[in-house]
Amino acid sequence: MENKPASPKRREFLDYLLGTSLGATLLAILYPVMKFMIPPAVTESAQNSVVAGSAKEIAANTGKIFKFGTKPGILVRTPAGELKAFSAVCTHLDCIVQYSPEKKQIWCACHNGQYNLSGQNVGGPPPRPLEEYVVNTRGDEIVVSKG
Amino acid sequence: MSTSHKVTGWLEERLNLTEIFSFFTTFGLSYGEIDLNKPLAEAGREAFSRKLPTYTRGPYILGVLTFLVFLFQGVTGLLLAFYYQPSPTAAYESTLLIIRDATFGWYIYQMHHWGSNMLIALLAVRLARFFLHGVYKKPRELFWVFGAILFLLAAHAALTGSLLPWDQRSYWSVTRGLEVIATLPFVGSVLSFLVGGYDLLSGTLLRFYVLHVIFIPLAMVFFFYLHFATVRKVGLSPLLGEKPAEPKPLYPDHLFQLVILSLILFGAILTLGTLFPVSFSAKADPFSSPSGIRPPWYLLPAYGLVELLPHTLAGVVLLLVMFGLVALPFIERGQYRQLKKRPLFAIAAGAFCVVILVLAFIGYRRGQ
Repeated sequence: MENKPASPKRREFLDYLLGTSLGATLLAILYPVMKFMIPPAVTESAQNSVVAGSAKEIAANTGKIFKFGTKPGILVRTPAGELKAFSAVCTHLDCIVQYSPEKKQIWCACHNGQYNLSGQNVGGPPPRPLEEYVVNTRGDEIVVSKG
Repeated sequence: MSTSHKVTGWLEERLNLTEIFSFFTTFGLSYGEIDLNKPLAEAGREAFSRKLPTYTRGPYILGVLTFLVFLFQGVTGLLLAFYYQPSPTAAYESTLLIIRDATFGWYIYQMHHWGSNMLIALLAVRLARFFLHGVYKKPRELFWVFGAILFLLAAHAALTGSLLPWDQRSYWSVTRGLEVIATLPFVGSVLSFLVGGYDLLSGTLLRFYVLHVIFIPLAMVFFFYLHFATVRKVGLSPLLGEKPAEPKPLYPDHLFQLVILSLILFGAILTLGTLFPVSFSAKADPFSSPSGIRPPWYLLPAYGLVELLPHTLAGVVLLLVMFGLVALPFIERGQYRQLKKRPLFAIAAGAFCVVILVLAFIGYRRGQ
């Protein structure tokens, strides 16, 4: 009879133990599942530079889309003959931009975004300039690298 | 009125919660009737406080444990399917991605592998218990029939699944297994049609994948459902030779037993997967067959038989054994359940087990 008052406390303690171990079990299940569902980082071309094309194939006042790792880039030869390279992903809504020889501008077909040949956003909805890359020529190869 | 009451009240005006709940209990949690006209809280309280015979505890709830492992296989399999690509060109690389690159990928891969072995083992142990305790005597013949079909289905699920990693070991192990299936008269040609031929190139992998992730699991759900439905109709078989024990309520007695046993079971799967991971070898090469490859362990006795007898004869024997396995309750029709009151079948079963072990040994040796 003396033990009786202690009993509910012990029961509470056991309930508490049971509850926390249930929580821990759930956590031990959910944590690996959540981690598994996050796609593993694709071993992105650790390369910081890429050969975008040959100097011959790109004439003045034209542009060319090339692959920079998993993202597209745009290589432009200005009417003055200068080579420029930018990220080809429009800063507005992730469409792919293209070179417009008539306007002598980089142009996004989705929402008529316009960038000048320095990559500055000069018209339409894009909020920021395009990311610019460094262009070097190595013999006939045009090498584009991240700045 | 508490928030949970408000929420269930709101839902109850729009959904028949009790009917949904009764659907869950249909799959083995509670064997009694659920009154669909009562609100969920009341129906739930009734179901959980219902007294069940105490022999639904301990090793006598293998059926529910089997179903839990089956669900576990469903969940881990679903996770693997997020990365796996079933084509000969991408299967190996995507498995490699799961094992090597995805966080905890190896873990889920090993769980799924050991879970499948556990499922087959549990179903076999369950059939052994059914035999020892004469569970399948009238009116419970279907317990055995569905149990045996589930066992065969689980073995096929494991076989089709073991090809999917597309490494040398899985490829050649399944080739060995298909050699066994190819000997089966009639059934062999049907299966050959299903898998698109006995060589494992091109279309076979996709067919194995479809069988593994859709067809066989659906068939298993169907037979699990039939099994639980017949349990609800005829009731669990009474214990042998003991006076009926005092019934105990589902909650907490039976449910806690179930939780404890499932924790042990899944603990065993995790431990096996961590300590004895299945190997993952080089990419499958149909033009170079490595040495020391055996069919999966559950096919070893059949493989031994195929090695021992001419193929056609071995196929006929295998087919007869499979039919005999499923139809056992209609072969052994005596009324006694105690093993010593049916000596003929006890001896036959003992001899059967010895033969199985010897054949498995022969199959194992042959594979070396």
